[in-house]
Amino acid sequence: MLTRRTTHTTLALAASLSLAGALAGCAAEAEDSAATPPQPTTDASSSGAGDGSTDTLAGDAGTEYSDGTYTAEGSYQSPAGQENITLEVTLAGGTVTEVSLTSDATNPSSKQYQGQFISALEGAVVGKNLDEISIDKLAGSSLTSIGFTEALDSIKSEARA
Amino acid sequence: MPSFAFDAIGAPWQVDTPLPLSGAERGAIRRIAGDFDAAWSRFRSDSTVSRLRNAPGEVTLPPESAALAELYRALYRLTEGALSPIVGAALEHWGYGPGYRLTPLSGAPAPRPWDSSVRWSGTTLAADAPVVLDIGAAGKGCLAGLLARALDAAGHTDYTVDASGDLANRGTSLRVGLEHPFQPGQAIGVVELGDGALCASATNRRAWGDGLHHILDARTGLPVTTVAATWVLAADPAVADGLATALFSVPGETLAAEFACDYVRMFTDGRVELSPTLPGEVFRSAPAR
Repeated sequence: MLTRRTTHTTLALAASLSLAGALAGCAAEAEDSAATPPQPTTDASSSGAGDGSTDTLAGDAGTEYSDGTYTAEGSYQSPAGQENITLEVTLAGGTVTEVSLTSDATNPSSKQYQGQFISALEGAVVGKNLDEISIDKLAGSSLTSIGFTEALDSIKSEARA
Repeated sequence: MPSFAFDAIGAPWQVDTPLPLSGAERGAIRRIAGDFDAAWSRFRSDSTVSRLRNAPGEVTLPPESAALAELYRALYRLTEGALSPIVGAALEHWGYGPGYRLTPLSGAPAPRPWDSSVRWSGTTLAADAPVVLDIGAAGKGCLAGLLARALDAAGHTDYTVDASGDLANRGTSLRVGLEHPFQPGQAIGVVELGDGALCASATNRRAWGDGLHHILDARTGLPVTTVAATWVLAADPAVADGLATALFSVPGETLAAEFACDYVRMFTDGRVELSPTLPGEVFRSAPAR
């Protein structure tokens, strides 16, 4: 039971991060949500975050992602009582530059589950804008097969027609 | 640095050198690239490998075939069959083939194990049944290596062969950004490239909807789903390219046990795995407080 509930909280926090803009930890969603204005509150509760979830996004929630530090607090009811976690995301130039998660759990099981989530979060990559890192070349797939790109463009324009 | 830009094997390439290349050198580069395409392209009906597309038989391939066949054999073994040169038919099933249909056929592809009907070693490729040979996993790196060796032979000691993001470098070292597979205009890290190659592979660009992209698990014929992008540094560009594709199926340690390389492997959930000796850094979220 506890596992399930903790997992849900994890997903909800990930969702709130993707709303904040650009956590690679859920990069596919982040890309989609980039086109959508951030909501004043996260969808933590609607995704089944847990009981009495009280997430808020501090800072400007306009159509652009304003620089600053955003804080989301999550709480849920575990068999050992209420657990709280605080997530802090720093945005600079539209990019997540720092993510931190603070837990005040005392219950060993809660500590363990939250620890697993925290270590997963630490492993996630954070993109940096190309103009803020000095590089000579870029290694990736941005330039791809000419024929492929042309074919895809023509399929897209047919789809729009 | 002056650049010589040209199209090769269906993509834009460039060679950077401190002084402009001579007309003869540019001609030689175009010829090597043209010969490579004429032998290996499964997108051309007149290529050497396409002669086995509709009928069994035996063809003779250019000299680079020997090392390429050996590399593919090693990758096939290390990935337990996930990376195979016989994956062409499955790619074409999903629409990635001549004419770029980009529309899947109905049903699922029927993948075959390498040894069921195809023998490829040295410069000989023989097939008992029609086969679509696909060297997409290492072909670009292979050509980059051929061009680098031609530049070496012409006496060049400072150059970069840039094959649309796959790099073969000698002389002046480069700081190379690792392109974020999901965020255009961003990098997830930076590495230093001295003498050697850096090859990247990602599923994001050559993708055409519904989870279809150009990196398949040859055992199932289905697109791989958990790895988003890979980068490999190795001395030889063909090896770097092949390993970058193999990283979609197996962990870096498995490959590093057999090939001297450094690597970065990024999963679709944003986690990364990198070699301990990577000459560079990957940007990651700050530790929790």
